[in-house]
Amino acid sequence: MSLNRALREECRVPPNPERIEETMRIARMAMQRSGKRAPRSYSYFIIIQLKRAMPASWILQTLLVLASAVFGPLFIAVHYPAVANDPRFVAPLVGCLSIYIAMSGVYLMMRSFRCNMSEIEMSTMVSTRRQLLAKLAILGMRDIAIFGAVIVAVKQTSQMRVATIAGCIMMPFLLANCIGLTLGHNAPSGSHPMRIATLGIALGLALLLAYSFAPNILNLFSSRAGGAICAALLLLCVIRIGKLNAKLSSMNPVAEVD
Amino acid sequence: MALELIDVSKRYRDKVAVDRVCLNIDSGIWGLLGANGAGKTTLIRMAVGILKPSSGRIRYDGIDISTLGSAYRNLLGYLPQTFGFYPEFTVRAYLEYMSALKGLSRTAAKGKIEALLHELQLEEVQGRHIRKLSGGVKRRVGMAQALLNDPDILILDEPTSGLDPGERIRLRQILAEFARHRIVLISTHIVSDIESIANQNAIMKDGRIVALGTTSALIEKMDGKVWQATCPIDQMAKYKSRVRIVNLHAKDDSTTAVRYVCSEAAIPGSSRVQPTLEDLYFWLFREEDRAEENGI
Repeated sequence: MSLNRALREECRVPPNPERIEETMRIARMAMQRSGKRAPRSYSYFIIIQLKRAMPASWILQTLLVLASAVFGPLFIAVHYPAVANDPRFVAPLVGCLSIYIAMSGVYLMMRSFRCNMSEIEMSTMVSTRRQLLAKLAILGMRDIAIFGAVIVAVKQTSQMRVATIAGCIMMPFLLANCIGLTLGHNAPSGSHPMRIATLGIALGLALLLAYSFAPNILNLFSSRAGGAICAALLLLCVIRIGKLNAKLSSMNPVAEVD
Repeated sequence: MALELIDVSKRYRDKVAVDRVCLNIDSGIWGLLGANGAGKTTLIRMAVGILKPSSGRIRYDGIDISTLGSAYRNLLGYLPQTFGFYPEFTVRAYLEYMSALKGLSRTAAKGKIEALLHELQLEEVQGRHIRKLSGGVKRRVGMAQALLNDPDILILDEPTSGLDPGERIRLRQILAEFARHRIVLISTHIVSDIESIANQNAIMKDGRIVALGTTSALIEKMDGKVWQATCPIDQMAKYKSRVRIVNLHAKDDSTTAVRYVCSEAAIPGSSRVQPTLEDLYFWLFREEDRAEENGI
């Protein structure tokens, strides 16, 4: 309970020695904290998350993906114009890329469990909810940058509509996230890179098979039904993140009340 | 300044990991002793606030820690049993990361990191990857992160596991210096680690506190029960079932020096010796075993 809240409640309820004693204790604690502690900084936490929690290998990985996402279609457009203009080749390509992006995100979200950092992170000032939000924000920015570049590159080199490209990216991306987050939620410590990689490869193969046996699936992406499916998958992702947050919070019962 | 554990229990389906533990931990070094699986880590995790008790309350200065929330975390330094780190972290990067998680500003973090690197003799390794460091240095890095926020309560779970004797002594010195006007709770199964530095000890078995008190008061209970004798090796077998042997040391090919715990001299030529906390540990666990055998 914060001092302000304790003092407010003190005014409302009839005075009793127990309550006064508790308010005094809270006041002592507040005084102790304000005199002794350095100011808290969430912005510093975000900067450090970006700088330190994002490993160099991951940054390199992202740059490689970004480069291949931009230069890949350009290379194909110059050397194999027929392929570049054919959505049957482009769509599975960006789909697999989006699955890869989703899986690397899931890996990053679950990294603290794998590296035995979760326990120590939970005992700190920044609540698990805030830590999760910070990771989501950073990943979100990364994904927007990559997908933006992919959409621009594909649009420049093919005749696909933006809505279709976005659908080709978002549907596999959201599906992979849903499955990956479910995996992480059920067995956070078991989110081994190999397991995530296997899941990613399996999803990629499933996507390629889907495009091979049902090429008309592409029409779904730019349709209203495709939009509805994406919305449903997005909702599922939000639910999964909510559940993950609830699970992490239950593992960390000292609630953040300040 | 006091951390109170009032009737704290933790149950996992059929298993009771911690059973109605009551402790009033005030400033100074507290040792939480117990064999592996005694419930120490579960109790520690509840005290840290990362595990919810099935029943009971944990209060700091009379206020429930769940009410204190982040204020409690602000007062807390914690070194878990499994010291984790991201593989790409250098010592300095790790401390920067942890100081951000502990809510320190950049300026405050910089000053504190410099001071701790110096105090814990980590200056030379600050740029090295943690994964490449020895167990002892890793533990010191763990200690440094626990001390980053200048905590009032320092909780260490098996801090000396994997350390060589020199590192153990150094860690003890650090703790002894730090413990003034603070609560330091150390969980361990190595009695000698806390015997010389702990002001108070709690011994756990099967989720319960089976002994509690200052080191000297606990040792006093063993007065007259610890013996030393020299015994022919071929006769040792018959004594093994009657006494609790703390230590055996071969003197020559035919005789061995034996230190044992028993309410009376069981080996001819035994002489009483000064008891230690380790003797009590053995004694308590033997008593418990007997009670279990007798179905008490």
